[in-house]
Amino acid sequence: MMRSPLNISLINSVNTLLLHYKLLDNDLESEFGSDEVEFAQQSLSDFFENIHPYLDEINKQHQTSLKGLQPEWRKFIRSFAQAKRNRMKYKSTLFRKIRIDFSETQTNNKEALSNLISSLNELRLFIDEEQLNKVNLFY
Amino acid sequence: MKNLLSQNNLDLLHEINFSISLVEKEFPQGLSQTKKWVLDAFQDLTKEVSRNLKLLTVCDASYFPSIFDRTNQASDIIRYLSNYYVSILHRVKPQDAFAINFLHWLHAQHSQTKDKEFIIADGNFSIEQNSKNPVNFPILYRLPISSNLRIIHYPLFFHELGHYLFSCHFLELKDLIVDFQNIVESKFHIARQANDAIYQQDLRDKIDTVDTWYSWLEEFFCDAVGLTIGGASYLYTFSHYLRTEGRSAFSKDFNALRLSSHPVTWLRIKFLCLRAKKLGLTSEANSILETWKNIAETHNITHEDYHGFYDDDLQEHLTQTLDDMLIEADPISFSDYHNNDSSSNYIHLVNEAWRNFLNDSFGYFGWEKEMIGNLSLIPIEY
Repeated sequence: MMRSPLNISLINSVNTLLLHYKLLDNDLESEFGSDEVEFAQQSLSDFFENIHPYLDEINKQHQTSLKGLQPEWRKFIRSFAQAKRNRMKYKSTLFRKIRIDFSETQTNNKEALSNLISSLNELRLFIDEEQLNKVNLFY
Repeated sequence: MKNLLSQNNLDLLHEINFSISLVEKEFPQGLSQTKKWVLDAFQDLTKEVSRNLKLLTVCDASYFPSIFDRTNQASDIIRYLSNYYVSILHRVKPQDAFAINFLHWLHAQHSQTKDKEFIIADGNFSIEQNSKNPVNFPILYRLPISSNLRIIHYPLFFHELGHYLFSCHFLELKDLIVDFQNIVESKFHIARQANDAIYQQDLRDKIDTVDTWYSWLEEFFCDAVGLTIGGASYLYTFSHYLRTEGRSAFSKDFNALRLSSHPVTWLRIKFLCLRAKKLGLTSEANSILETWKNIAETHNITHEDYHGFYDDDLQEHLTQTLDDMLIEADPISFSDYHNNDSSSNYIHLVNEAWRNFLNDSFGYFGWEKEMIGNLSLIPIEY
Protein backbone atom coordinates (compact mmCIF):
# COMPACT_ATOMS: atom_id res chain seq x y z
CA MET A 1 0.00 0.00 0.00
CA MET A 2 2.91 2.31 0.77
CA ARG A 3 4.03 2.24 -2.86
CA SER A 4 1.79 4.93 -4.34
CA PRO A 5 3.49 8.30 -4.70
CA LEU A 6 0.41 9.87 -3.11
CA ASN A 7 0.65 7.85 0.09
CA ILE A 8 3.26 10.05 1.64
CA SER A 9 1.59 13.24 2.69
CA LEU A 10 -0.42 13.89 5.80
CA ILE A 11 -3.06 15.83 3.86
CA ASN A 12 -3.61 12.89 1.55
CA SER A 13 -4.39 10.52 4.41
CA VAL A 14 -6.70 13.12 5.95
CA ASN A 15 -8.62 13.50 2.69
CA THR A 16 -8.79 9.76 2.03
CA LEU A 17 -10.50 9.29 5.39
CA LEU A 18 -12.61 12.42 5.11
CA LEU A 19 -14.00 11.38 1.73
CA HIS A 20 -14.42 7.75 2.81
CA TYR A 21 -16.35 8.56 6.00
CA LYS A 22 -18.46 11.28 4.39
CA LEU A 23 -19.51 8.85 1.66
CA LEU A 24 -20.46 6.29 4.33
CA ASP A 25 -22.24 8.94 6.39
CA ASN A 26 -24.32 9.83 3.33
CA ASP A 27 -25.06 6.14 2.65
CA LEU A 28 -22.99 6.20 -0.53
CA GLU A 29 -20.53 3.54 -1.60
CA SER A 30 -16.94 4.34 -0.69
CA GLU A 31 -14.53 4.74 -3.59
CA PHE A 32 -11.60 3.72 -1.36
CA GLY A 33 -10.36 0.18 -0.89
CA SER A 34 -10.03 -1.24 2.62
CA ASP A 35 -6.23 -1.32 2.27
CA GLU A 36 -6.19 2.42 1.48
CA VAL A 37 -8.44 3.22 4.41
CA GLU A 38 -6.45 1.05 6.82
CA PHE A 39 -3.19 2.58 5.65
CA ALA A 40 -4.54 6.12 6.12
CA GLN A 41 -5.95 5.25 9.58
CA GLN A 42 -2.73 3.65 10.73
CA SER A 43 -0.46 6.38 9.39
CA LEU A 44 -2.58 9.14 10.90
CA SER A 45 -2.75 7.37 14.27
CA ASP A 46 1.02 6.83 14.20
CA PHE A 47 1.63 10.44 13.23
CA PHE A 48 -0.33 11.76 16.22
CA GLU A 49 1.19 9.18 18.53
CA ASN A 50 4.63 10.41 17.43
CA ILE A 51 3.90 14.09 17.94
CA HIS A 52 1.95 13.66 21.20
CA PRO A 53 5.02 13.77 23.50
CA TYR A 54 6.25 16.94 21.80
CA LEU A 55 2.87 18.63 22.22
CA ASP A 56 2.92 17.63 25.90
CA GLU A 57 6.36 19.20 26.19
CA ILE A 58 5.17 22.45 24.61
CA ASN A 59 2.15 22.39 26.87
CA LYS A 60 4.40 22.21 29.94
CA GLN A 61 6.93 24.71 28.70
CA HIS A 62 5.66 27.00 25.97
CA GLN A 63 9.12 27.81 24.57
CA THR A 64 11.12 24.64 24.15
CA SER A 65 13.31 23.02 21.52
CA LEU A 66 11.89 20.04 19.65
CA LYS A 67 14.73 17.56 19.46
CA GLY A 68 15.16 14.81 16.88
CA LEU A 69 12.67 16.31 14.47
CA GLN A 70 13.01 17.55 10.91
CA PRO A 71 12.06 21.22 10.36
CA GLU A 72 8.67 20.47 8.71
CA TRP A 73 7.48 18.45 11.71
CA ARG A 74 8.76 21.10 14.13
CA LYS A 75 6.70 23.69 12.25
CA PHE A 76 3.64 21.45 12.27
CA ILE A 77 3.89 20.77 16.00
CA ARG A 78 4.39 24.42 16.95
CA SER A 79 1.44 25.49 14.76
CA PHE A 80 -0.72 22.65 16.08
CA ALA A 81 0.06 23.59 19.70
CA GLN A 82 -0.99 27.15 18.94
CA ALA A 83 -4.17 26.02 17.16
CA LYS A 84 -5.03 23.75 20.08
CA ARG A 85 -5.19 26.80 22.33
CA ASN A 86 -7.71 28.43 19.98
CA ARG A 87 -10.76 26.68 21.42
CA MET A 88 -13.18 29.00 19.67
CA LYS A 89 -12.01 27.81 16.28
CA TYR A 90 -10.84 24.24 16.84
CA LYS A 91 -13.40 22.40 18.93
CA SER A 92 -13.12 18.79 17.75
CA THR A 93 -11.97 15.80 19.79
CA LEU A 94 -8.71 15.65 17.87
CA PHE A 95 -7.68 19.14 18.94
CA ARG A 96 -8.74 18.47 22.54
CA LYS A 97 -7.21 15.01 23.02
CA ILE A 98 -4.55 14.88 20.24
CA ARG A 99 -5.82 11.45 19.45
CA ILE A 100 -7.82 10.12 16.57
CA ASP A 101 -10.08 7.14 17.26
CA PHE A 102 -11.27 4.95 14.41
CA SER A 103 -12.48 2.03 16.51
CA GLU A 104 -16.12 3.07 16.80
CA THR A 105 -16.56 3.64 13.09
CA GLN A 106 -16.95 -0.14 12.65
CA THR A 107 -20.12 -0.20 14.75
CA ASN A 108 -22.32 2.05 12.59
CA ASN A 109 -22.31 4.56 15.44
CA LYS A 110 -23.51 7.71 13.65
CA GLU A 111 -22.40 10.01 16.46
CA ALA A 112 -18.87 8.58 16.44
CA LEU A 113 -18.76 8.95 12.67
CA SER A 114 -19.93 12.54 12.88
CA ASN A 115 -17.28 13.31 15.56
CA LEU A 116 -14.60 11.75 13.42
CA ILE A 117 -15.66 13.76 10.36
CA SER A 118 -15.53 16.95 12.48
CA SER A 119 -12.00 16.13 13.63
CA LEU A 120 -10.83 15.39 10.09
CA ASN A 121 -12.54 18.52 8.72
CA GLU A 122 -10.78 20.69 11.30
CA LEU A 123 -7.46 19.00 10.65
CA ARG A 124 -7.85 19.58 6.90
CA LEU A 125 -8.73 23.22 7.50
CA PHE A 126 -5.76 23.66 9.87
CA ILE A 127 -3.32 22.12 7.36
CA ASP A 128 -4.73 24.29 4.57
CA GLU A 129 -4.70 27.55 6.52
CA GLU A 130 -1.21 27.00 7.93
CA GLN A 131 0.02 25.87 4.48
CA LEU A 132 1.31 22.63 5.90
CA ASN A 133 0.19 20.48 3.00
CA LYS A 134 3.81 19.51 2.25
CA VAL A 135 4.18 17.75 5.61
CA ASN A 136 4.90 14.07 5.09
CA LEU A 137 3.78 11.24 7.30
CA PHE A 138 7.18 9.66 7.38
CA TYR A 139 10.71 10.81 7.38
CA MET B 1 -16.04 24.30 -8.85
CA LYS B 2 -17.25 20.94 -10.14
CA ASN B 3 -16.55 21.99 -13.72
CA LEU B 4 -13.14 23.42 -12.81
CA LEU B 5 -12.07 20.23 -11.02
CA SER B 6 -13.35 18.05 -13.86
CA GLN B 7 -11.39 20.02 -16.44
CA ASN B 8 -8.18 19.87 -14.43
CA ASN B 9 -8.46 16.16 -13.72
CA LEU B 10 -9.21 15.40 -17.39
CA ASP B 11 -6.16 17.42 -18.38
CA LEU B 12 -4.06 15.51 -15.84
CA LEU B 13 -5.06 12.21 -17.42
CA HIS B 14 -3.71 13.48 -20.72
CA GLU B 15 -0.47 14.66 -19.07
CA ILE B 16 -0.05 11.20 -17.56
CA ASN B 17 -0.66 9.42 -20.86
CA PHE B 18 1.79 11.63 -22.70
CA SER B 19 4.44 11.13 -20.00
CA ILE B 20 3.97 7.36 -20.16
CA SER B 21 4.48 7.43 -23.94
CA LEU B 22 7.80 9.24 -23.44
CA VAL B 23 9.07 6.80 -20.82
CA GLU B 24 8.06 3.65 -22.70
CA LYS B 25 11.32 3.23 -24.57
CA GLU B 26 14.55 1.36 -23.98
CA PHE B 27 16.89 2.67 -21.29
CA PRO B 28 20.39 1.95 -20.10
CA GLN B 29 20.41 -1.01 -17.75
CA GLY B 30 21.29 1.20 -14.78
CA LEU B 31 18.01 3.09 -15.19
CA SER B 32 15.63 0.23 -15.98
CA GLN B 33 14.42 -0.03 -12.38
CA THR B 34 13.72 3.70 -12.33
CA LYS B 35 11.74 3.44 -15.55
CA LYS B 36 9.59 0.68 -14.03
CA TRP B 37 9.03 2.74 -10.87
CA VAL B 38 7.95 5.79 -12.87
CA LEU B 39 5.54 3.76 -15.03
CA ASP B 40 4.01 2.15 -11.92
CA ALA B 41 3.69 5.57 -10.29
CA PHE B 42 1.81 6.87 -13.33
CA GLN B 43 -0.54 3.87 -13.14
CA ASP B 44 -1.33 4.77 -9.52
CA LEU B 45 -1.83 8.40 -10.46
CA THR B 46 -4.18 7.39 -13.31
CA LYS B 47 -6.34 5.55 -10.75
CA GLU B 48 -6.26 8.55 -8.43
CA VAL B 49 -7.27 11.08 -11.08
CA SER B 50 -9.97 8.76 -12.47
CA ARG B 51 -11.35 8.42 -8.95
CA ASN B 52 -11.46 12.21 -8.57
CA LEU B 53 -13.53 12.36 -11.77
CA LYS B 54 -15.88 9.67 -10.48
CA LEU B 55 -16.28 11.38 -7.09
CA LEU B 56 -17.23 14.58 -8.87
CA THR B 57 -20.15 12.80 -10.50
CA VAL B 58 -21.60 11.43 -7.25
CA CYS B 59 -20.68 13.99 -4.59
CA ASP B 60 -22.14 17.34 -3.57
CA ALA B 61 -20.23 20.58 -2.97
CA SER B 62 -19.29 19.65 0.62
CA TYR B 63 -16.78 17.16 -0.83
CA PHE B 64 -15.10 19.69 -3.11
CA PRO B 65 -12.39 20.92 -0.67
CA SER B 66 -11.04 17.37 -0.29
CA ILE B 67 -11.28 16.65 -4.03
CA PHE B 68 -9.55 19.99 -4.64
CA ASP B 69 -6.69 18.94 -2.31
CA ARG B 70 -6.35 15.60 -4.03
CA THR B 71 -6.32 17.24 -7.47
CA ASN B 72 -3.66 19.63 -6.20
CA GLN B 73 -1.55 16.74 -4.81
CA ALA B 74 -1.89 14.72 -8.00
CA SER B 75 -0.95 17.75 -10.14
CA ASP B 76 2.09 18.43 -7.97
CA ILE B 77 3.36 14.88 -8.21
CA ILE B 78 2.58 14.46 -11.92
CA ARG B 79 4.45 17.67 -12.74
CA TYR B 80 7.32 16.79 -10.43
CA LEU B 81 7.68 13.37 -12.05
CA SER B 82 7.32 14.91 -15.47
CA ASN B 83 9.79 17.77 -14.85
CA TYR B 84 12.51 15.54 -13.49
CA TYR B 85 12.06 11.82 -13.90
CA VAL B 86 10.35 11.79 -17.30
CA SER B 87 12.47 14.49 -18.89
CA ILE B 88 15.71 12.92 -17.62
CA LEU B 89 14.73 9.44 -18.74
CA HIS B 90 13.56 10.82 -22.07
CA ARG B 91 16.78 12.74 -22.68
CA VAL B 92 19.37 10.35 -21.29
CA LYS B 93 22.50 10.40 -23.48
CA PRO B 94 25.56 8.18 -23.89
CA GLN B 95 27.62 10.84 -22.04
CA ASP B 96 25.57 10.06 -18.92
CA ALA B 97 26.92 6.51 -18.85
CA PHE B 98 29.84 7.24 -16.53
CA ALA B 99 27.68 8.89 -13.87
CA ILE B 100 25.01 6.19 -14.14
CA ASN B 101 27.59 3.41 -13.87
CA PHE B 102 29.32 5.13 -10.95
CA LEU B 103 26.09 5.43 -8.92
CA HIS B 104 24.86 2.00 -10.00
CA TRP B 105 28.10 0.53 -8.60
CA LEU B 106 27.93 2.62 -5.40
CA HIS B 107 24.33 1.52 -4.84
CA ALA B 108 25.26 -2.12 -5.43
CA GLN B 109 27.83 -1.98 -2.60
CA HIS B 110 25.20 -1.06 0.04
CA SER B 111 22.37 -3.29 1.22
CA GLN B 112 20.18 -0.19 1.68
CA THR B 113 20.52 0.85 -1.96
CA LYS B 114 21.32 -2.27 -3.96
CA ASP B 115 17.77 -2.39 -5.36
CA LYS B 116 17.07 1.32 -5.04
CA GLU B 117 16.05 3.25 -8.14
CA PHE B 118 17.82 6.52 -8.89
CA ILE B 119 18.09 9.25 -11.45
CA ILE B 120 20.54 12.08 -12.10
CA ALA B 121 19.40 15.64 -12.79
CA ASP B 122 21.44 18.73 -13.60
CA GLY B 123 22.30 21.05 -10.72
CA ASN B 124 24.70 21.50 -7.85
CA PHE B 125 25.87 18.27 -6.20
CA SER B 126 22.96 17.29 -3.99
CA ILE B 127 20.31 14.74 -3.31
CA GLU B 128 16.70 15.85 -3.51
CA GLN B 129 15.23 15.46 -0.07
CA ASN B 130 12.04 17.31 0.45
CA SER B 131 8.37 16.75 0.89
CA LYS B 132 8.05 15.76 -2.76
CA ASN B 133 10.91 13.34 -2.67
CA PRO B 134 10.69 11.12 0.38
CA VAL B 135 12.50 7.90 0.94
CA ASN B 136 10.10 5.77 -1.15
CA PHE B 137 10.81 7.72 -4.36
CA PRO B 138 13.74 6.87 -6.65
CA ILE B 139 16.71 8.87 -5.37
CA LEU B 140 17.17 12.07 -7.35
CA TYR B 141 20.83 13.08 -7.40
CA ARG B 142 22.00 16.34 -8.90
CA LEU B 143 25.27 16.62 -10.78
CA PRO B 144 26.56 19.83 -12.37
CA ILE B 145 26.81 19.28 -16.11
CA SER B 146 30.37 20.66 -15.98
CA SER B 147 31.28 17.91 -13.48
CA ASN B 148 29.71 15.14 -15.56
CA LEU B 149 33.08 13.86 -16.78
CA ARG B 150 35.26 15.16 -13.91
CA ILE B 151 36.26 12.09 -11.89
CA ILE B 152 37.81 14.11 -9.06
CA HIS B 153 34.40 15.67 -8.30
CA TYR B 154 32.57 12.35 -7.97
CA PRO B 155 33.42 11.65 -4.29
CA LEU B 156 30.84 14.32 -3.43
CA PHE B 157 28.25 11.66 -4.28
CA PHE B 158 29.47 9.71 -1.22
CA HIS B 159 28.25 12.59 0.95
CA GLU B 160 24.92 12.65 -0.89
CA LEU B 161 24.46 8.92 -0.36
CA GLY B 162 24.93 9.71 3.34
CA HIS B 163 21.68 11.69 3.26
CA TYR B 164 19.84 8.65 1.96
CA LEU B 165 21.42 6.42 4.62
CA PHE B 166 20.35 9.00 7.20
CA SER B 167 16.74 8.68 6.02
CA CYS B 168 16.89 4.88 5.93
CA HIS B 169 18.26 4.66 9.48
CA PHE B 170 16.42 7.62 10.91
CA LEU B 171 14.62 5.62 13.61
CA GLU B 172 17.91 4.23 14.93
CA LEU B 173 19.71 7.56 14.59
CA LYS B 174 17.00 9.63 16.23
CA ASP B 175 17.99 8.78 19.82
CA LEU B 176 21.61 9.67 19.09
CA ILE B 177 20.51 13.00 17.62
CA VAL B 178 18.30 13.77 20.63
CA ASP B 179 21.13 12.86 23.04
CA PHE B 180 23.49 15.21 21.25
CA GLN B 181 20.91 18.01 21.13
CA ASN B 182 20.47 17.54 24.90
CA ILE B 183 24.21 18.08 25.34
CA VAL B 184 24.10 21.26 23.24
CA GLU B 185 21.16 22.47 25.30
CA SER B 186 22.92 21.76 28.59
CA LYS B 187 25.93 23.80 27.50
CA PHE B 188 23.89 26.84 26.53
CA HIS B 189 23.77 29.04 29.61
CA ILE B 190 21.32 31.85 29.99
CA ALA B 191 22.54 34.27 32.61
CA ARG B 192 19.42 36.29 33.34
CA GLN B 193 16.39 34.68 34.91
CA ALA B 194 14.02 37.64 34.85
CA ASN B 195 11.26 37.03 32.36
CA ASP B 196 12.02 40.15 30.37
CA ALA B 197 12.67 40.81 26.69
CA ILE B 198 16.36 39.95 26.96
CA TYR B 199 15.61 36.65 28.65
CA GLN B 200 12.99 35.84 26.01
CA GLN B 201 15.49 36.55 23.25
CA ASP B 202 18.14 34.39 24.95
CA LEU B 203 15.61 31.61 25.25
CA ARG B 204 14.73 31.97 21.56
CA ASP B 205 18.45 31.80 20.67
CA LYS B 206 18.88 28.70 22.79
CA ILE B 207 15.93 26.92 21.16
CA ASP B 208 17.13 27.87 17.68
CA THR B 209 20.68 26.73 18.45
CA VAL B 210 19.46 23.32 19.61
CA ASP B 211 17.07 23.00 16.64
CA THR B 212 19.84 24.05 14.21
CA TRP B 213 21.95 21.13 15.36
CA TYR B 214 19.41 18.70 13.90
CA SER B 215 20.37 19.75 10.35
CA TRP B 216 24.03 20.25 11.22
CA LEU B 217 24.31 16.79 12.68
CA GLU B 218 22.94 15.34 9.44
CA GLU B 219 25.58 17.25 7.45
CA PHE B 220 28.42 16.19 9.75
CA PHE B 221 27.14 12.64 9.49
CA CYS B 222 27.12 12.81 5.67
CA ASP B 223 30.69 14.16 5.70
CA ALA B 224 31.70 11.24 7.91
CA VAL B 225 29.97 8.85 5.49
CA GLY B 226 31.74 10.52 2.55
CA LEU B 227 35.11 10.12 4.23
CA THR B 228 34.44 6.53 5.29
CA ILE B 229 33.55 5.56 1.72
CA GLY B 230 35.97 7.72 -0.23
CA GLY B 231 38.95 8.03 2.13
CA ALA B 232 41.48 10.61 0.95
CA SER B 233 39.55 11.22 -2.28
CA TYR B 234 36.59 12.62 -0.32
CA LEU B 235 38.83 14.79 1.81
CA TYR B 236 40.52 16.24 -1.26
CA THR B 237 37.30 16.73 -3.23
CA PHE B 238 35.45 18.38 -0.37
CA SER B 239 38.29 20.79 0.29
CA HIS B 240 38.96 21.47 -3.40
CA TYR B 241 35.31 22.09 -4.24
CA LEU B 242 34.60 24.43 -1.34
CA ARG B 243 37.88 26.21 -0.75
CA THR B 244 37.07 29.05 -3.15
CA GLU B 245 33.79 29.80 -1.36
CA GLY B 246 35.31 32.90 0.22
CA ARG B 247 34.91 34.44 3.65
CA SER B 248 31.55 32.76 4.30
CA ALA B 249 33.35 29.41 4.41
CA PHE B 250 35.03 30.61 7.61
CA SER B 251 32.62 32.91 9.31
CA LYS B 252 28.92 33.74 9.37
CA ASP B 253 26.96 35.93 11.74
CA PHE B 254 24.53 34.53 14.28
CA ASN B 255 21.44 35.13 12.20
CA ALA B 256 22.94 33.44 9.16
CA LEU B 257 23.70 30.41 11.32
CA ARG B 258 20.31 30.38 13.04
CA LEU B 259 18.33 27.38 11.70
CA SER B 260 20.84 27.06 8.84
CA SER B 261 21.02 23.79 6.96
CA HIS B 262 24.83 23.52 6.86
CA PRO B 263 27.54 24.15 9.46
CA VAL B 264 30.35 26.58 8.64
CA THR B 265 32.63 24.88 6.11
CA TRP B 266 35.79 25.49 8.16
CA LEU B 267 34.25 23.54 11.05
CA ARG B 268 33.35 20.71 8.69
CA ILE B 269 36.94 20.66 7.43
CA LYS B 270 38.20 20.43 11.02
CA PHE B 271 35.97 17.45 11.79
CA LEU B 272 36.80 15.75 8.52
CA CYS B 273 40.50 16.08 9.24
CA LEU B 274 40.11 14.84 12.82
CA ARG B 275 38.35 11.74 11.51
CA ALA B 276 40.81 11.34 8.62
CA LYS B 277 43.69 11.18 11.09
CA LYS B 278 41.89 8.45 13.02
CA LEU B 279 41.57 6.57 9.73
CA GLY B 280 45.29 6.78 9.11
CA LEU B 281 45.15 9.65 6.60
CA THR B 282 47.38 11.88 8.71
CA SER B 283 49.53 13.49 6.03
CA GLU B 284 46.49 14.14 3.83
CA ALA B 285 44.61 15.71 6.75
CA ASN B 286 47.58 17.88 7.74
CA SER B 287 47.97 19.13 4.19
CA ILE B 288 44.27 20.08 4.01
CA LEU B 289 44.40 21.85 7.39
CA GLU B 290 47.44 23.79 6.22
CA THR B 291 45.65 24.79 3.00
CA TRP B 292 42.65 26.11 4.94
CA LYS B 293 44.88 27.94 7.40
CA ASN B 294 46.49 29.70 4.44
CA ILE B 295 43.12 30.64 2.95
CA ALA B 296 41.97 31.96 6.34
CA GLU B 297 45.06 34.14 6.49
CA THR B 298 44.29 35.45 3.00
CA HIS B 299 40.94 36.61 4.35
CA ASN B 300 42.69 38.02 7.43
CA ILE B 301 40.76 35.62 9.66
CA THR B 302 42.73 34.78 12.77
CA HIS B 303 40.31 32.89 14.97
CA GLU B 304 37.20 30.76 14.77
CA ASP B 305 33.90 32.13 16.05
CA TYR B 306 30.73 30.09 15.79
CA HIS B 307 28.63 32.44 17.95
CA GLY B 308 27.73 29.83 20.53
CA PHE B 309 26.59 27.25 17.99
CA TYR B 310 29.82 25.34 18.50
CA ASP B 311 32.46 25.28 21.15
CA ASP B 312 35.43 22.94 21.57
CA ASP B 313 33.60 21.44 24.57
CA LEU B 314 31.40 19.72 22.02
CA GLN B 315 34.22 18.14 20.01
CA GLU B 316 34.42 14.86 21.87
CA HIS B 317 30.63 14.46 22.09
CA LEU B 318 30.20 15.21 18.41
CA THR B 319 32.93 12.78 17.39
CA GLN B 320 31.41 10.03 19.53
CA THR B 321 27.90 10.71 18.22
CA LEU B 322 29.13 10.51 14.63
CA ASP B 323 30.99 7.26 15.39
CA ASP B 324 27.76 5.79 16.77
CA MET B 325 25.74 7.04 13.81
CA LEU B 326 28.19 5.42 11.39
CA ILE B 327 27.82 2.09 13.18
CA GLU B 328 24.06 2.26 12.60
CA ALA B 329 24.28 3.32 8.94
CA ASP B 330 27.22 1.03 8.12
CA PRO B 331 28.57 2.57 4.89
CA ILE B 332 31.30 0.70 3.01
CA SER B 333 34.87 1.63 3.90
CA PHE B 334 37.49 2.78 1.42
CA SER B 335 40.04 0.56 3.20
CA ASP B 336 38.19 -2.54 1.94
CA TYR B 337 38.64 -1.37 -1.66
CA HIS B 338 42.18 -0.14 -1.42
CA ASN B 339 44.05 -2.95 -3.08
CA ASN B 340 41.50 -3.92 -5.66
CA ASP B 341 42.27 -2.02 -8.85
CA SER B 342 39.73 -3.76 -11.09
CA SER B 343 38.13 -1.49 -13.64
CA SER B 344 34.83 -1.48 -11.80
CA ASN B 345 36.26 -0.40 -8.44
CA TYR B 346 35.22 3.24 -8.39
CA ILE B 347 36.73 3.95 -4.97
CA HIS B 348 40.11 2.91 -6.29
CA LEU B 349 39.42 5.01 -9.40
CA VAL B 350 38.62 8.26 -7.57
CA ASN B 351 41.65 7.89 -5.31
CA GLU B 352 43.82 7.14 -8.34
CA ALA B 353 42.36 10.23 -10.03
CA TRP B 354 43.40 12.40 -7.09
CA ARG B 355 46.89 10.93 -7.03
CA ASN B 356 47.22 11.82 -10.72
CA PHE B 357 45.73 15.29 -10.30
CA LEU B 358 48.00 16.15 -7.37
CA ASN B 359 51.09 14.78 -9.12
CA ASP B 360 50.44 16.45 -12.47
CA SER B 361 47.42 18.75 -12.60
CA PHE B 362 48.00 19.62 -16.28
CA GLY B 363 48.60 16.09 -17.48
CA TYR B 364 45.69 14.74 -15.43
CA PHE B 365 42.98 15.65 -17.91
CA GLY B 366 44.36 13.36 -20.63
CA TRP B 367 44.39 10.46 -18.19
CA GLU B 368 40.85 11.29 -17.08
CA LYS B 369 39.53 11.39 -20.65
CA GLU B 370 40.99 7.98 -21.36
CA MET B 371 39.53 6.49 -18.15
CA ILE B 372 36.09 7.93 -18.79
CA GLY B 373 36.18 6.61 -22.37
CA ASN B 374 37.01 3.11 -21.19
CA LEU B 375 34.55 3.08 -18.31
CA SER B 376 31.66 4.57 -20.25
CA LEU B 377 31.82 1.62 -22.62
CA ILE B 378 31.47 -1.06 -19.98
CA PRO B 379 27.94 -1.76 -18.79
CA ILE B 380 25.78 0.64 -20.80
CA GLU B 381 23.25 -1.57 -22.53
CA TYR B 382 20.32 -0.28 -24.50
